Amino acid sequence: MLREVWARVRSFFRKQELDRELDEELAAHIELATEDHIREGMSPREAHRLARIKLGGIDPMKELHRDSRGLPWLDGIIQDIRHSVRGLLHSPGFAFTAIATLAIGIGVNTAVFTVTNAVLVKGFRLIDRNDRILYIHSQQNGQYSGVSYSDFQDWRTEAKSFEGLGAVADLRITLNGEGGFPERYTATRITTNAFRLLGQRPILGRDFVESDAMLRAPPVAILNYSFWERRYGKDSTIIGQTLHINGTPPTTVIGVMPDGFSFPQNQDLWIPLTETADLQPRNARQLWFAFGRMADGVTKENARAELETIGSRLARDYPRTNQGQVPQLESFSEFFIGANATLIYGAIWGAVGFVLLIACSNLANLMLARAIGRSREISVRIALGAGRWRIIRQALIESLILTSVGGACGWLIAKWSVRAYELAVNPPASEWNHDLLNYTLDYRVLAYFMAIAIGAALFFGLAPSFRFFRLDLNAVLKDGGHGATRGGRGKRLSSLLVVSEMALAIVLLAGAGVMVRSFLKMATADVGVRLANTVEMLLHLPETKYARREANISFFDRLKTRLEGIPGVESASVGLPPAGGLPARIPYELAGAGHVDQQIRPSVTVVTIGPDYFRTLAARVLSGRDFNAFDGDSGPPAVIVNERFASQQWPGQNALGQRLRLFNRDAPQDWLTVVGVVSNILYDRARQEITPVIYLSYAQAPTSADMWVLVHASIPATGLASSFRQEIGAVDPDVIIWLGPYDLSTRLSRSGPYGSIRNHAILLLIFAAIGLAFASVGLYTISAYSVSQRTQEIGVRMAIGATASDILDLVFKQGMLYVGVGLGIGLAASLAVNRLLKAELVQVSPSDPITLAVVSATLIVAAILGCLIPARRAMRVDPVVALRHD
Amino acid sequence: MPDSKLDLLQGTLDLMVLQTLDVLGPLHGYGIARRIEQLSGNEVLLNQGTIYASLVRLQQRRWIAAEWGVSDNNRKAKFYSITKAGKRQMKEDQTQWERLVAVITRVLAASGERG
Repeated sequence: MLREVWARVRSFFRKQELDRELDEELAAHIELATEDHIREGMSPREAHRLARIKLGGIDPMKELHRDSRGLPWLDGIIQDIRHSVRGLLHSPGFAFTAIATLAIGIGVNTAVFTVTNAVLVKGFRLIDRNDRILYIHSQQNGQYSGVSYSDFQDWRTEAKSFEGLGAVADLRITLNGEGGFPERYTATRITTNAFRLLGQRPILGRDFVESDAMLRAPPVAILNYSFWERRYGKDSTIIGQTLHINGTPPTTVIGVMPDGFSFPQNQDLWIPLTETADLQPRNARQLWFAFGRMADGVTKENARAELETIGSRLARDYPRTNQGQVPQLESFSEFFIGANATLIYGAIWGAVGFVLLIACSNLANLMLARAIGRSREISVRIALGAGRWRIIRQALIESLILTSVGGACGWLIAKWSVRAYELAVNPPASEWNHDLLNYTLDYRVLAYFMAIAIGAALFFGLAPSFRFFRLDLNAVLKDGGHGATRGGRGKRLSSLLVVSEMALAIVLLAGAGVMVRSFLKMATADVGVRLANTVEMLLHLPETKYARREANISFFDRLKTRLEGIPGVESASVGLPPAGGLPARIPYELAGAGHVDQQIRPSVTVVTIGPDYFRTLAARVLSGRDFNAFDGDSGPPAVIVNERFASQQWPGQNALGQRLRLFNRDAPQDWLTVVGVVSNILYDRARQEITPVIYLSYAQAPTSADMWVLVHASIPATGLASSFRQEIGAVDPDVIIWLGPYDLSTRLSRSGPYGSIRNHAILLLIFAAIGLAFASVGLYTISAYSVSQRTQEIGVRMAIGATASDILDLVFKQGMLYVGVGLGIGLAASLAVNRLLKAELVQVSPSDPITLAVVSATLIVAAILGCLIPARRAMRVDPVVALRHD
Repeated sequence: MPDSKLDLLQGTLDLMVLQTLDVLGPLHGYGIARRIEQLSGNEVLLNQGTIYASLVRLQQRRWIAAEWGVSDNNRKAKFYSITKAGKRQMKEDQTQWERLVAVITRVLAASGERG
């Protein structure tokens, strides 16, 4: 059996040789037979004729020979492929539409799957068995509350579910430049076992060892590959060299991690997490998170239960610090991406799924139309004996050819769009090198791609095939191929597809609509201040030189003068940039409020500023005054509050002259007198929330080594970067500078939830546009087809006196019926679907009526366009021609 | 010549070809076709060409072997001969065939008695 199959396969590929051999054999046969006949007494001519007759028809015989020696079905398929390709080349319009539709549908789907896959499934690059790595942090009342080093140590000793536990603390540090300008780099503090838990080793040098984390151990660091590449040009002699990290003794480079490895993200180097005094208190929850690799055979539920047990034990033993603290065990996507994002990516993925469905419906309709148009041809073929299976095979082969070409283009589209998306989300010039997500097109993507491509091919290849089983040969042959459409079933199927396209387009449009509205709300939200042409800089003053506040203040005073001397600069100041996140809140009490237990003492955001902070940001002083030269060391301690704070604490009263004081741990500080009230400035962009804020003058508050400087210019301020560096260097060359790469308004539009909602809105909008285009093409297809099928009927109507507008009515009524039904279903569905987006929406209701109205109008316009061309064609029907139309 | 020739049952042509080669030794396609025509008294057949489909099938199953050679009257022709496997197969097929014939004969005879 096997031998025969093998022989057949061999024969299949030796077709020409075998055919030639058969020819020779047959020639010999005829000669031998002719000679025999001559011997029997025939004339040579007659003998030859008889020999040929007895041999039989040469061609059917060759066919039979081939069938019995080779692979007839494969020959058939090849023939079908040829036939299909020829057919498609014959109708390039159809072929192009089909291939483009498929390429877009499949490409966009694959691209989105790649991104979703990266966000929801993959986890960190280069880390083996990501699903076994879990992330742990503490929660209080369901809110992230960091990780305390002491808690972490208890987890580590007691938890048996893990092969080991590691911890991560993010730390931003500065690094002295070598020759050039000093710059800021980022280091992550990790426990020394972290890389081993992740299954990664340095490609150069050595991993951390436990002794590296000892208190008095010589400082060491391991470099991120891209940092090593960028900063040291992949110099392999870097191992053993020293870096100067501010304030510490020289740090020795001991290793370089592999290319593409980053944990958790955005760092230039890793240093060991040392148990310093500030980490020891149990309520100092300064670690970012802990993580562990689950031991073999342990499930996430086991591990979670064990951690919770340990957590409640700690809460019992240390009620003062651990009451209500619950250790939380999460997967990569739960911890780093968050439940909202999961939902959003799910929604986007669903959206493109819809787009593909729409694309397939269109193709099915197109194929159906073609099949109906060809039903006469097909009926003839069936009547002549072609098996129905062969006809279906032909249709499937056609759809597979279209899908292969479309799919190949789709793969390219996917590749390019993922690349484009990556660049859009993580511009290479940005401060962050977002290593967190891994957008490679891996085997999962390939599998998904294959699955949807094959699924699409089957879907739209088989849809028309179902018709063939019901084809009434006689009716079709007699009818000239027209009857098929009026059979109802094919038409009902097409109508169903078009109506669902309309509905899906509405769902997509509505989803995109509310996202866009959210985005616009955010984009136009008032930060309260002027952002354009304002830049931020973070300066680090060497502690040794600036130990005293006076030195610090005089530095900034001199710097302010110099910066304001740069042509184009309008004002410069010290203080927190708006919309960059909130600093820590500090407990306070109001004068005359009575004693409040320290556990429940309220706290407020405190921002330390220099002179002209409000002027630089164009914030308004509503009452009282700005800080001035008298609010120095010798002057009475003053405070400025924002409008929100004033209206919350002293509603309906004059805030000026009121007093409050801050606490340093339990120790009350000096009483502060309110000297001014300023307009609200938005710091917490993520929540779009104006919070109560109080401002202290830096001349009266404790200063820190790191200070933000803001500069507003009348010209694009980013162009002044080198002047800024020059002036700062002129005041003190040892100051370390980090200069924001964008002005504030650009930074805001690119970062954080604002950036992500923008990206999501744009993505959904693109998909919705594709969906809408497909839907109106679908309507066009079905209307155009119906018009061409009814040319005769239209001709008759016109002949008996129907006007052009009656005909227009005829075509439009049907089209608009689809639109109406689709719109109804779509709106109902979008009310349900949009609820999923709620978490991402900012001040927009998921069932926002304006959005839904605009969306409906858009669909109707698109649908009218879809109907218009066929309708015009119907109007121009010439009755005389139409009546003869076959 | 009778009005209608016998339609060959599936597989019977293969058996006849094997039998012919077994009896006559190596033979070319034309020879086999002639021989079957003669033996069947022109009752069966067939376009002679059908023989070639059968020959290629038998060859692929390794029941016969083929070789180019020269015929009695100096013509180049492909000669077929039966292989050991072919002989085995022929025996099997013969037994099968005889059993089938016996059964059918019995059945037909039985219905004949009744009518």
